[in-house]
Amino acid sequence: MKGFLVFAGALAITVAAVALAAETQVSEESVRSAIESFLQNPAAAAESELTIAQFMEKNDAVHIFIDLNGYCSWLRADKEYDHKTTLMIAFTTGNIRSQLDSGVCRDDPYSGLLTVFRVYRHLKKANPEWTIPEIENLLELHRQGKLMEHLAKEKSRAAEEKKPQN
Amino acid sequence: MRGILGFAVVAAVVVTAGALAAETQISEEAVRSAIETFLQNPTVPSESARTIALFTEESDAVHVIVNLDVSCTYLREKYGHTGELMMAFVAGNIRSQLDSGIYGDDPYSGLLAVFRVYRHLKKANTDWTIPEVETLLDLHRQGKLAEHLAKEKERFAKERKQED
Repeated sequence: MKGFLVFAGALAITVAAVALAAETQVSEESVRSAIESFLQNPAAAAESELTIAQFMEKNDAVHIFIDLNGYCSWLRADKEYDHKTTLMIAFTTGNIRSQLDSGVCRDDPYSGLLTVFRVYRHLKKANPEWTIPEIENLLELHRQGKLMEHLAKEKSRAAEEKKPQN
Repeated sequence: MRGILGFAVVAAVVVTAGALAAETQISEEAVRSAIETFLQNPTVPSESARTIALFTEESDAVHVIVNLDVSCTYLREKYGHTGELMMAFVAGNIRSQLDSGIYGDDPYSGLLAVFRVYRHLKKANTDWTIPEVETLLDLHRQGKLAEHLAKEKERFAKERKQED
């Protein structure tokens, strides 16, 4: 596995779309098209999800870190929210698109979260009572113009946690 | 003019795409489609660029500051493709706001779209370079772009305060 999809923290997420054994090489054009299809209809985009997952699997040009102890805590196994996989794909697509746009292989959780917000709001339209408090908190931070700063702090914390304990 | 496209510092940027006097109401779907079309084929003037400019001008849902002293220094000099790069900045910036549903200038997302268009244009002319964009790209490579934009924004606000 070329695998630049990194999960931090204990994890038991099943990504149904991630057919990791696939051999197909996915072009940038194809993955961009798949991202658009997914974003237009995130609840019913199995084929697009597969393309995105295959691109992630086969491509060294992107790096995604999913911090389950921080900004992606809503994905943790102990959180029983609907649409977790769809929202994870959303996070991945925003993050990938940022890296394809800049040509810089660097995890971009900010762009990932913007796409999560888009998909979250889209899904919420069909069920206004459905809420994920962690995402609402991130949205509130963004409303206050503090999301970037929050993510920088979270990154420092995650880096500290990764350091070997003396 | 509802005037949400703000230019900081007196600018000599000509947005050839911006037929800002038109009255058309543009849907979110239409502007999203225009953004994708423009980013795939960044050309100014074009129908997609015109749609993006009109939407930005007319919509109360988005706010874009083209700050020639902070995030858009590369628009001050005549490097060429000024219209395309400015439209890219606007496109990335408003897409972020449409995605989050939160009204507020997002130069970071604007610059990501600038990087895409800059790299696209560079493919056709590999000798063409904009040092300011290269510097911003380098900051992004080092993971310092967001921090840089925050500091520059603060500096700019302080300078404006002193002038007042």
